[in-house]
Amino acid sequence: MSTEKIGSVAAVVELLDLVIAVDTFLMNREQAQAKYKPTRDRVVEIYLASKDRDLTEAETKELTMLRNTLIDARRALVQGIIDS
Amino acid sequence: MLRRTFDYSMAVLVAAIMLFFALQGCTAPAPIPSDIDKFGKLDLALQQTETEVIGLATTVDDLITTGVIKKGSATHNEVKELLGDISNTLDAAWAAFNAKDLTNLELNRNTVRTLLLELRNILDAKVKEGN
Repeated sequence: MSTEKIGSVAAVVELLDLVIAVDTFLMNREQAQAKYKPTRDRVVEIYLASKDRDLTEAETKELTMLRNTLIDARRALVQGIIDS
Repeated sequence: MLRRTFDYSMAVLVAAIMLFFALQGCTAPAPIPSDIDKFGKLDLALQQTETEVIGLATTVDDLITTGVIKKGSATHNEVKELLGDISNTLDAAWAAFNAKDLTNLELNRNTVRTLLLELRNILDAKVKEGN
């Protein structure tokens, strides 16, 4: 996955939209919460820590990995519906 | 006299050079976005689609849990099939993104958007029916 754009401040804000969507998914779903809440918490933590500065290369790489985990949350959610 | 003429000539030459570069700047075509810019924008666009899919899938799950969409019904099966297609196509879009395959990326993203619209219409109809 690309890291060219996710490093910008605007991209982190965009990533928060994804976090909000995941938050709604996690509501009342304890099993999913245990798996994905640490990821959403870490995205918010990086956002708050980097609000007034550019992201470091390490943070950019970490955000890309965190986003991949949030994408896994979508796969798990859809699979759960298909299996229902 | 010779010195003054030389200074004057130099001043005219410098002004001409400056004017040349200024005009070059004015008439230069707008820069073409690099592939990195283009892929960067697509990166965010795909992420937005991802956000939409998670949002809609959560709504579907809630509608199934609350019984608005009955398990085993035609709508349930239709929605499951659509969501499966959406998720697989979105994965294909990310794969195309990683491979820097612009054509398939846009093709898959457009397909996801079309399928999302279809799903949204089914859900709208179901919610209206419930009301």
